[in-house]
Amino acid sequence: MDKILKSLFDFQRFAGESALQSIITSVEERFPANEEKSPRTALTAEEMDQISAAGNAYLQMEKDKWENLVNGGN
Amino acid sequence: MAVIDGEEVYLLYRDKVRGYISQHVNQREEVEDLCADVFEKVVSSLDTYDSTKASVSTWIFTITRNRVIDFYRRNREHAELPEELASTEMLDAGLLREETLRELAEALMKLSEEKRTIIILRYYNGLSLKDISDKTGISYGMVKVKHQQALKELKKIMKI
Repeated sequence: MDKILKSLFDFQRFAGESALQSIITSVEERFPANEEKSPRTALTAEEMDQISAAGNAYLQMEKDKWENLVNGGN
Repeated sequence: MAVIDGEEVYLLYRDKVRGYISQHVNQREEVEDLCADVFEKVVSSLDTYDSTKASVSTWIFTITRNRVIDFYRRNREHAELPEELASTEMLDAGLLREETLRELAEALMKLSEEKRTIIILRYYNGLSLKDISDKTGISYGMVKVKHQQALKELKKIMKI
């Protein structure tokens, strides 16, 4: 049924059968197909600081792991 | 066997053929080439067209779809065959008639509005069940359940 419906709706794009088109149009009016996603808002200074702090903490963690490996190797 | 006029067919179907190809092929030049191929095939096969087997619309659609599939096969390394084209390949051509679209429309009208919406968004707009859930505000679990119920109901109504 899944494949049959995919094929029939593909054929609909070509044939444009009117009864089916009116059903599609009514759904698309309620749920527009090309609805734009709301634009991403710019980060606040506080959020930038939090991301920067998290990034620094991650780098420090990686550095510590590396140093432990090197020291452990010695 | 009905006699049909090549020029009339071209004028009537050129926009549909171009529109269909454009939905599946991005390159503009390829669209024009494929469109020309389709009508070359249509005109050269006019005398073999059998109206008892398929409507003109179904016949031209089948030629167009096959040309697009050939295009993807030739460019296999660069492009993957879209799912709806792959699935149409497996479909009995007899099912692809405008009459079946009318039957589908009637069957959809027998479903609840919620189920009808899920079917249109899934199969016409190509949304995943997760995207349908996001768009409609219906929980993902409920979309899955309603989707399965809608398929069963359609199968029963359309006797497929």
